[in-house]
Amino acid sequence: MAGGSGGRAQVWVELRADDPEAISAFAVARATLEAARGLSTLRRMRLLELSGPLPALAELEELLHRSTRFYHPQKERCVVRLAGGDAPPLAHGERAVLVTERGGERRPAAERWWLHETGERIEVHEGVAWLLGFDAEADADSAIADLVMLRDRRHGLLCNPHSQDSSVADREIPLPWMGAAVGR
Amino acid sequence: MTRARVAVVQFPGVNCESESALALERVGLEPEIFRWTRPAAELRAFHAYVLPGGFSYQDRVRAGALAAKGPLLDVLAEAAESMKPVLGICNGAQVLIEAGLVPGRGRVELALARNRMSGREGYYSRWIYARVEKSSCIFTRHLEPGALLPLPIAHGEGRFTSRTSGKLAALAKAGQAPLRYATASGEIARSFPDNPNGAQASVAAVCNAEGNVLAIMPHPERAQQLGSVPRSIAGPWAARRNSAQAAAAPGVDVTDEGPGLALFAGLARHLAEA
Amino acid sequence: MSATLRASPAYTALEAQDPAAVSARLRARGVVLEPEEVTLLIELIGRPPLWPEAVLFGILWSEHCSYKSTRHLLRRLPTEAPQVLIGPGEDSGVVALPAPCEDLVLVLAHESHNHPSQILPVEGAATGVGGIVRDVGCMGAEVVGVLDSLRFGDPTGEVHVRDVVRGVVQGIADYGNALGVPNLGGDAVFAGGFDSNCLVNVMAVGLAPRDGVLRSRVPEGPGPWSFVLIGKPTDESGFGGAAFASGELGGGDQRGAVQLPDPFLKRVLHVANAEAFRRIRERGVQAGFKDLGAGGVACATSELAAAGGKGAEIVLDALHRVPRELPPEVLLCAETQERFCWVVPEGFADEMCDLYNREFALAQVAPGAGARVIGRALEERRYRVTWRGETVIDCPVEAITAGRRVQRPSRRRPPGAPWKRSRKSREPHEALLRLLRSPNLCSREYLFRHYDPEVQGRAWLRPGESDAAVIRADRRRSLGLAFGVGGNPFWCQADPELGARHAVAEAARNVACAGARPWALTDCLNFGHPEDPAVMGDLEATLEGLAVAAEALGGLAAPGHPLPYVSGNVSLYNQVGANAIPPSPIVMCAGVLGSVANALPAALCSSGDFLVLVGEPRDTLTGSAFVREVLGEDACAPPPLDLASEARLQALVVAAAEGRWVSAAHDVSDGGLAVALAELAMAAPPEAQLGLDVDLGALEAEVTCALFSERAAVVLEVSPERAARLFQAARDRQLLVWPIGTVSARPELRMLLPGGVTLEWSIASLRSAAGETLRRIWNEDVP
Repeated sequence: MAGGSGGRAQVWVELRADDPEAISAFAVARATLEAARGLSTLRRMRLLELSGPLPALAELEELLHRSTRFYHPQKERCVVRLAGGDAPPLAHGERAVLVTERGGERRPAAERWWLHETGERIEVHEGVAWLLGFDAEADADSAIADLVMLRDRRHGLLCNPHSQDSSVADREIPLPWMGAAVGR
Repeated sequence: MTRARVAVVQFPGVNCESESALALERVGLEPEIFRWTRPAAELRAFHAYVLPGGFSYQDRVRAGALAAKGPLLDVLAEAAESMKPVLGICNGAQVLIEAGLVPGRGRVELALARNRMSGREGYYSRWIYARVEKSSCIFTRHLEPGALLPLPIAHGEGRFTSRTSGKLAALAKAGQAPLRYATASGEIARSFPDNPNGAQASVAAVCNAEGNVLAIMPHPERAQQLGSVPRSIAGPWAARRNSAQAAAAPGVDVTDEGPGLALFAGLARHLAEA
Repeated sequence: MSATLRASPAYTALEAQDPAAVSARLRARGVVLEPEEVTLLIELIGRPPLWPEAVLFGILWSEHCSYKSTRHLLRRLPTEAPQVLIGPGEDSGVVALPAPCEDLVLVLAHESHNHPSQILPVEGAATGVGGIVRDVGCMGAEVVGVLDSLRFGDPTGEVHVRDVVRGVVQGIADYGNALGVPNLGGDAVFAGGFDSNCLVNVMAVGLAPRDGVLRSRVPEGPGPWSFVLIGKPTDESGFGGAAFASGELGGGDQRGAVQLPDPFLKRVLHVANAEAFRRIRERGVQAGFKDLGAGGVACATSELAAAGGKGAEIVLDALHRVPRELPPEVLLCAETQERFCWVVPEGFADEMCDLYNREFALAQVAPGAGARVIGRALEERRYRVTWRGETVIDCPVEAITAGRRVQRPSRRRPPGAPWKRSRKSREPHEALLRLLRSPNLCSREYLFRHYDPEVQGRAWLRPGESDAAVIRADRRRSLGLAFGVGGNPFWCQADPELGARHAVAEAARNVACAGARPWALTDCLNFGHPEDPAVMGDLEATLEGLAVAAEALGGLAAPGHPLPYVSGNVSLYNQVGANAIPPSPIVMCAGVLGSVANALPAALCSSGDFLVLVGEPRDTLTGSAFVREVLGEDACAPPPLDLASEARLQALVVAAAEGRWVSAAHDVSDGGLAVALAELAMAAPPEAQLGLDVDLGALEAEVTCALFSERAAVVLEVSPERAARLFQAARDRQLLVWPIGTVSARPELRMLLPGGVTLEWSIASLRSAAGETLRRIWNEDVP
């Protein structure tokens, strides 16, 4: 069954209900961070990347659905990207930032489950993708850096660089995004 | 003489406010639980502050990250500057680290990251030995360096870490790590579970350079009674508890002060001197 | 499953002439009414029911809410004793406490969340904790602890079992830790009979001022009374949950029926409730309070009205709810978590709302959360609900309280035979290690370190330190409370009645071993299909055993009275296909210590102390873990149990604790004396370097029986100068008592066998045998 997906899958998982974490982060950022003045929306998704001998899309989706190790169909929805050409679930103009726990990106329990179900060894990485929307007149590029990287109470929120890594995507979302891009 | 007033700052989701208040009361201070919906300016009336443990704002974004930004922290930052004592316990420590009140003056220099443990992940609770280190920290400076305090930890994100290598060792050297995880015999912990979360340099607590703001991961307020020192603990505290339990030593009672009360006593002593 | 329901008659009188067909059609739409209930409902309300009415009664009459198959059997349980203030029937039981805490009462509740936890272990178990905590909180109590009794499948079998184990523990931890309620232990048993149906029993304990207990009813007096709904905005989650818990697992993806818990909001609600309690007590405001569980708004408000002898009118439009369009029966019956309902005087309702909405800013804690007035009490005994100007429910309150009773045929079975001595023999040295490595006897430390046992600062003896967890009731006063559980599924499978007796005896003995007087019981009866006569027969036998044991063991709280059951739950349909779970009564015993200073650990204390065994003779291996785990033989009858002697044994241990003659106590249960001794040694700190020198000669028993018999007994650690007093006290109570050894200053367990052979284990080797098993279950998928 290997090879059907070219060995890489990027899974974007979003809560079906309002995400309290994103709502709170947005409210706090708007209230306390200068750089959030032009921020108009903030969404949060869990980002999973699977690499190894993966099956074709339909079977892959079925496997992801079967275990709550990846996502929870009753409260989350997921979008799978297999190739750079597949569209990520971003709204027009949204910018994406990946935040990962340094040294804690792997999901060994999910990998073991996959091995048990399919007989295949894959790697599973997980991080959080924050999707930021800005007012038309805002200077998103300069604002993002000040929103993401925690420096003090007035600067940064989404990534504490002492234990986390972050990566701001350009217009294209890399695939894979973890491993390669993380840690720069 | 009126008792010094201490605010126990209650963010939504914290859950150790009542036992923290009790510890303050037991050392002769006057605690008041200060709810997050009150005007921040009212915090200025207090002589000292405790940020208790729990899960402020449900650990959204990161443990402590959201509470660190609010107006209450503006007042606490100002209080810290003016040398008022501030004690952050567990989630309170996470707030102080995320707010940059510890170890520096407003700059975030550390993280309390997810535990790194052998054979498990996530939340972990156990009693550990915290060794008192030489420090000018007002909460511990009355204690003998080298003394061991058995204290409970209970957290998922308690690993003091910095991306600057050697940062925590340097803080320890500078007297800004007043408690470090140790073995039962008093050596600095080298591995799990003596070091229960993988903290760099086995640091269990960090204070600012002035010593008036302390971020501590173990829970001293849960170790206020001699009789509740657990059976897994060895050493002088266990021996004291055993003799109190057997009523073999008249004058020693199981409800006497436990090891954790020492930090609150340090606070009371400081406030009495000030 | 609900979107197609219409607010119009669910069926016509004509259609009801074929009730089976109506029942089947309703079931396909998620409404469970048995055929006779289809006609009964028309009789009770005088016309065919509207859809919301059919949904409401489907839930009210579900097994989960109505106990229709078991209510008459439950009368067998003793529920009265002088300390009982409120017995079974409310959300929680309430018992009085002795000095120095006569002004406080202890609130106890016990529930199961089995089906949801099997399907979505994390959310299912978390919601179980959330629900039981609400049951105690709604009595006006501060919740001071939760316990959990878990029954899992064989962890060396299907991989799914391990997922369930890990998920359930994570769910309990996630919820309880964040809520700030300490975990006071419980137990966990692994057996193949739970492979496809785990059990998650949760218990919560709380404390309230004696004059501040709130009842779940509209208070007496003319009012006018307002209903105030507080908490999370109503959504569609868990719609049909009660019916779900009353049907067997399997078929389709049932994950949708599980509710989603929010411990963060619950924490804030608890803090806000505590402030509300304080205010109504201070001001003398009359109030009723109830949590929302199965059946949501409909069940809570109708039961509040009915219990107060009044009616109610609920205006659904007033509910705070999610912005999505939802039909009225969903708004009424959804099981959205983290909600409570107040009944307060109309003039106080706005202040109550303001407390939650402004002072605690609930909407900032969870989007859409808050407090709203949703209706009023009626003097007329009718329950009426309106939605957009239309009446969607209108029925006499008597219809709601009428209840249902179903007589199920039952068939008792002969109890299993005692174990027949086989020719197999096993070398005892390896046998002990093998027992300590087995999933059922290995160390629970890996598991309980997921939980917070300390929050609130009341912890005195935590799980792993004693046979029952001990807390200090009030942090300024000496009174202690102890909580222990019992329930051995292997024994209940072999002989439900005797197994049930043992469950009670073990729970009470655990409490006594912590130095506490057994004070009150809660129970949950976890069984298979009630339609199966064998299941009903087991249930009857179990109730008999629970009753007989409780009648014998109440004397330490009130001489001459039974140990009362004050709260409980029945969980049926724990079965997939033909495989019912083993009969599983799970019993919690709450105990009281006049002073926490008397609390006894199950850990060695000082070298030089004597070890004393007290209890029944070591004369049989029947039912033992040795037979199951070491000899690998099938289940056999539990050991016999002499309840009169059991009562005297518990009295002795409590007397020894209260007189401070002994410094440690440990129940001889799973694995027998050998395992009990190993556990006493392992629970002491390694640095203390304590061990045991044991001489089995005194027991005058065959070696394997001496080591592994599971007849009831207790090991006590006593200082040499107090040993004589202990012996005399045991003899005064006609108990068998044996000096079996001393605590040594060498970290070894040494046993001199009758033949002169000495066995030795280093304590470190015992620790490593006992410590690995759960760690592997968590970290490996393939055994």
